Amino acid sequence: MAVAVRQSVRAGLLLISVASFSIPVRVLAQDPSQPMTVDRTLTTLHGVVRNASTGEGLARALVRIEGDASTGVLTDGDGRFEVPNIPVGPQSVTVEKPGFLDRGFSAANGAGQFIVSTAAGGHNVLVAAQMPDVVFTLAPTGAIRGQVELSTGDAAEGIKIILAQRTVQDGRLLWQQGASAKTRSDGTFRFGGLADGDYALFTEPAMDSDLDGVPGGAGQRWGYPALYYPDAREPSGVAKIHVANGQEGQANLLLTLEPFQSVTALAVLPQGNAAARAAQNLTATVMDSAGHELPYQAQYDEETHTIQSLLPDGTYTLLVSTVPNPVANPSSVHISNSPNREPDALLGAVEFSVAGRAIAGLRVALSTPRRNPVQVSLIHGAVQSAELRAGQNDQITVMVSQAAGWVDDSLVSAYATGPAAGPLTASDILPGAYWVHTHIAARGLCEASFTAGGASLAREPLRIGLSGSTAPMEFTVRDDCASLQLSLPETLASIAAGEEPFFTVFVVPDFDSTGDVQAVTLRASTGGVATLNGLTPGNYRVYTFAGSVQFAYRNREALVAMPNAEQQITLSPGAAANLVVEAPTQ
Amino acid sequence: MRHLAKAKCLKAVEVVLVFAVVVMWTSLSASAQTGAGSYRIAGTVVNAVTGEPVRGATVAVLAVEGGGRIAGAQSGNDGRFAIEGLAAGKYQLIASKRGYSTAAYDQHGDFSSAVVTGEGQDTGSLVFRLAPGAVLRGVVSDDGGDPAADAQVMLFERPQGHEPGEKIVQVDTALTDDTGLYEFANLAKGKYLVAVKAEPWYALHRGGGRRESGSEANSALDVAYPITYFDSTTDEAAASPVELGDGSRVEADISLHAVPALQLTVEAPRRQDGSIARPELRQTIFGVPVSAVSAGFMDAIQTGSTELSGVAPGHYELTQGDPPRVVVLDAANSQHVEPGAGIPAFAVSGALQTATGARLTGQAVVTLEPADNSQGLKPMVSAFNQGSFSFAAVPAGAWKLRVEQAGLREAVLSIGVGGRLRTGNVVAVQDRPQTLLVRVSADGMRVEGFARKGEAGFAGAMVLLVPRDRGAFPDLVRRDQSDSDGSFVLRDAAPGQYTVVAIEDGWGLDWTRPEVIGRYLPGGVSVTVRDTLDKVVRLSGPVGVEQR
Repeated sequence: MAVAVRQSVRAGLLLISVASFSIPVRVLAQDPSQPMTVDRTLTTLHGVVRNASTGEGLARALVRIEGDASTGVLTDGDGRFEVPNIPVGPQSVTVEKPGFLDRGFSAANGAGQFIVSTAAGGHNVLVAAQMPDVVFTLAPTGAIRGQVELSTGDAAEGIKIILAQRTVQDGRLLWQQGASAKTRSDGTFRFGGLADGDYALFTEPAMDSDLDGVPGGAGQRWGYPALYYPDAREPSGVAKIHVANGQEGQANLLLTLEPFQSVTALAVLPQGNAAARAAQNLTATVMDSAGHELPYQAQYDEETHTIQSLLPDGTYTLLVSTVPNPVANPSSVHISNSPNREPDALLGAVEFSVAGRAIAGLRVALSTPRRNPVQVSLIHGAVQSAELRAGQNDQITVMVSQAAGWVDDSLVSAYATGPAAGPLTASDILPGAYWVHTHIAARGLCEASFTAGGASLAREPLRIGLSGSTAPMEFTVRDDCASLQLSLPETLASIAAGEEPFFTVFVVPDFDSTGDVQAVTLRASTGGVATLNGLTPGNYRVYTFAGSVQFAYRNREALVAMPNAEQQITLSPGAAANLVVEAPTQ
Repeated sequence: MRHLAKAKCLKAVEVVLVFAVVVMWTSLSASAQTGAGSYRIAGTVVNAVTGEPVRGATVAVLAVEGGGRIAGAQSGNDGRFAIEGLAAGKYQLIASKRGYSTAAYDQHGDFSSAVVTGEGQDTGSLVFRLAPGAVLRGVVSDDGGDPAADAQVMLFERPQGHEPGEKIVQVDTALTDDTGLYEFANLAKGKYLVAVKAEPWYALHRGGGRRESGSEANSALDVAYPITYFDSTTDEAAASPVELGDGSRVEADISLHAVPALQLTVEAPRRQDGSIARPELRQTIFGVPVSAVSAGFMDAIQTGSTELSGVAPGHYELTQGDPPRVVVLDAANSQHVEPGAGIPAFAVSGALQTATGARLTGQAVVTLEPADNSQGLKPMVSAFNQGSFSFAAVPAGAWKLRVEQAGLREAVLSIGVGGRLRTGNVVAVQDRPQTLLVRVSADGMRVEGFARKGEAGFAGAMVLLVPRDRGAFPDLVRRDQSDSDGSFVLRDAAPGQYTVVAIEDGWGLDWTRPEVIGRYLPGGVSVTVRDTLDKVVRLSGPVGVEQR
């Protein structure tokens, strides 16, 4: 009986996992001769929900069973719960309570500088008759509150404050813009429900009154410039606020009333109807001297071809373009196979300083940016990988993300695309420094190197100049790629009653690479095995974490300081290697 | 003068949008005009409550027509401001200061006094009263006394003017934060009502009606919060109004109480064209529609009926079936709604035209409210857009039709149905769909005149155009506030015979009652409004301002 249950459970779990995860790795095939029977025995799931900080039982937490037997209960005063009539077998359980986050196994990892645990979507629990208590832990959320004061002594009501959170994306740490809040009538503000981590905040510029006044001459208004906590005028001066263990951070801001000057710039268009048509879509962005976007508005007036803004004293760059800003969701980027590109892109910028008076004589010369193609070359290895099947539709795609390290720099956009034989056609991107991310859709090809002007793009960001040009880019691919099968140790590869542990594995190249490392999830119910294909031969470091994490694997200093040892493996050209991961203990 | 937009409905944010956009980018062209004359507007901005000067307030001079900015100034530490170099003319004055409600000069609701410059006009010592904004805040908590986060708190204002048919309007909405706190700031003085719509965070609703056994545990969590009003009542009629004075701060905490949620089982038949007649459940708060829920689509396809689950007990209107019927539900229990229940309902659509018969374009809001309330029906709202409006299912009966454009109510002069014209705003829905041609007062005649007290023009008086025909009262009444030289314009007047009266400090009067206004009529000036080409009727003489 016990054996039969285990087999049916295995099949059932597989179905659930396939439905809820889409990891681009192969899943170990199940024995098709096993009947997919479902056990109808009902039992009671019982256990306790604890506060991860204090270990105490949490009252009034909601424990839900998802799927067919969708049901749920609230925990009692001691944090205990009992859900009756649950079918024996795999169940997905979620646990929630306002003011707490379910972070799965994250407590075991701690909140490191370069590891960010993410909230688990649900717990895979194997329900069996006579099963022991299941223990879930919820981490209390923190908050940042503060008081905004105005130099005039007026109440700081309605000042907009924007919160940024330190996150990991594609192996790099960056600030990501999150919630925003407005100060209440007494000048206070609050961001609640925060996960442990580092945060930063800044104010949007605020005018002293809703109306335009002219106290000191035409085009001057009074207002409060944007301020980056604690007292910086530019993003580079922002300070981290650490939130941990459900505590409240305090962040007070003092805003100083200053004159804002009217800035008017004339957009000088190139000759021709196409340019005039393109100019209808011009947008203007105000940036600081380091190239960070600032929260000041600039508006383009189509009739007069002028850009207008109101700015306090300081040095700025006004970037004017028809190039759309990078889009937030890379999956929504439409990559066209057609070599035709947007014909009428316009781009221009002007640097200027505001010092106590309005500026009216600026000119921004707009021109069509130059797009440098990416040259692709192929190195034939002595051993060619078995899968090499270069076809017509094989594509290499280069995505870019802003490298300036400030909020919204997480935005990713498609930059160049083309056939694996090259060249790749570049599209228009705003000037700046970008990290590149290559994706090779051609099976059997992998990256050998990617350089701009001879410098590795894995180490240096790609710099796109004001004219849209870059140093010559060269992408080299090879056809002797390796594969690596990862598996859980035997002790973790079998399934036991209770919550199923799972692991996230990062296979990080020990050499320059612009490809993003795919996080691999290993769990017993999906066979405990996954295979990575198309790996460039060379040395790799393999990091295994319990639970779901984001990992700043591109941060080399941080990698050296990792507390738990990584595994190392060398992949020979064309090899198909195996590795049993060293999973951390729960 | 009358504002272009209904200023009191604007929140601070909207004011920023309206003015910042209009005002900022006209500054270049405006500065030239400033030098065009030798007249000045000057005075002191003071706190309307304390009388103290207000430092750093921005005072803007706008064109009366179009609202474009002409000039501006900022008040000094003594509250004084001065705008020089103005041409002779009529200007609208607006003042703004953080923490105060942005207002026009001597504003009363939708009206204010424009300032007229020129020979003999004293515009050098204005007193501009700005009212400090009021604050209403509170904590929403649930049964356990825990804060209710993400609860939708809706703020309604009771009418304080005496517009005919003026309703309770929704002013703002806020979400509670994780401590259950909500706040509405920058409010004008007035009487407010607060309603909270929220869902227990732990609620698990039985959906689809095909649940197997074993949901005992579930039923304890199949709960909902009924709409809850300050001071923690679920009875709309028992809601306590909150009175806010200028600059006041009032706390209004509300506690929610979860009750078992209801399930409504409703037939969802196929229409002739094959589409599913999906039931729609509507709810109103103080006559303002707040939500509409459509039932599950898949259920309806498979079984011909559907279930609305997680419904809080309360008053609803349910549209069901084909042809549609509207059921008024005072839902206290889960129930199966009989297909034959309710009142047959019909589509009502139409177009709007101006007083002169031109087709109205742009945007407007058309509201149908029951002419008699015996069946417990609530008002319905449709957006007038691209030349037409339409209501999918209006229950048979008599309805009053109202039209609002940019927050201003238009008087409905007549409604045409199938070539037959009826004066007034009543629509009779009987046994078939209707297409209406609604003529409103927009773009009608202007009546111009002067309010005078003794030998001088009188500013700030309430001026009314009162129809002789009592039957047309109060829909055809027009109002204005006299400007600094006593001049006024009564807009969008329909042809007919009227009396114009001017009342000093008359803003608190309930002029919608004929007996209230009747005693001022003997002191008024008679006027006959005819449809003329230039659309202006000038009064033969000044209107004497009467004491309230």
